[in-house]
Amino acid sequence: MEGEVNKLMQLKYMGDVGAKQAIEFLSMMLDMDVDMKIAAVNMSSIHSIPEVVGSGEIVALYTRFNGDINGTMLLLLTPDSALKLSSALIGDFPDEESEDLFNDMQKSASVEICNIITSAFIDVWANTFSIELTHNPPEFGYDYSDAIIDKALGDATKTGEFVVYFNSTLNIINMDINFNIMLMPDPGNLQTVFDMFENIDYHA
Amino acid sequence: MAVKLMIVDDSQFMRALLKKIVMAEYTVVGEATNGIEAVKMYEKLKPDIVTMDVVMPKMDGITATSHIVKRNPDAKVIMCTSVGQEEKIKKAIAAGAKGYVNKPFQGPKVLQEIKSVLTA
Repeated sequence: MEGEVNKLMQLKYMGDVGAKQAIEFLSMMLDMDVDMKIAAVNMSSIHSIPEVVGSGEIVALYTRFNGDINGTMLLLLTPDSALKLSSALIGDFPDEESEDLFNDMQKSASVEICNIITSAFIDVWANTFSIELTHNPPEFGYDYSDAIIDKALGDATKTGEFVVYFNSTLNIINMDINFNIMLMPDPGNLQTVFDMFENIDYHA
Repeated sequence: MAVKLMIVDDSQFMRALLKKIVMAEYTVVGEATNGIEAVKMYEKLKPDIVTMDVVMPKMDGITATSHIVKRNPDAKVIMCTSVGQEEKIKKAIAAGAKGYVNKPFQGPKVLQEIKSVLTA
């Protein structure tokens, strides 16, 4: 039990440092006051994702990361939160008509947010463990949660083991936008992460 | 005479952001969304300077820069790379890029790098 708590604390620490880096990147790009907090970290079976996100429509921004650790990172948020987030970013850019809930500019802005948050998290993991990590350009999905999780995780839903949830809040222009960051290492890779934690020299 | 700038990035949002940063000082004559489009557009528009994203579909920015510089040795291309991609910056410089800016963009730094490459 104590071991589990330690693991969660280590993951929370990584999430907090990742959030701090993401704030720096987002503030730089947007020239706005941005804050991001990780309220809680949980680790659970991959099959629990629908219970966490519910069965309704969600927006998923997802990407694969590769290198010494491989896996998928997802940002999941409600359509309303995604619209608020993209509108905050787009600001006074020209608006465009769309029959869909999200126009191309809104999708593109949302993807860029995912890109920045993923880069921040991945940089922290790469620097902390002194490993090589890269990530693919993220993709945007808007669908019912089951469908989108299947699409985002692909075969991993059949073979994956654990998912790490970071319950997060992003504050831009006085708006609180809640979202979940899900880190899903490929099978066997989460143990690699915990082994790496064991080898960190915190006094170095 | 207005300096002609071409933006190459697969992200519509990033193109809009870059355009917003540069539009007061430069004329954006074209926007390409991948490397292949960028190579063709360069030959057609012959811009004074190009901002080039690295990771793009169809053809990446480093390959596109290499093609552009081979045909136009004086081409001025600035790479736009994410923080921590030092290896890609080295490859881009070897491919003929004249400068680079880190993403996320900071407006003053982008303008400063463009000016510095143009006057070099």
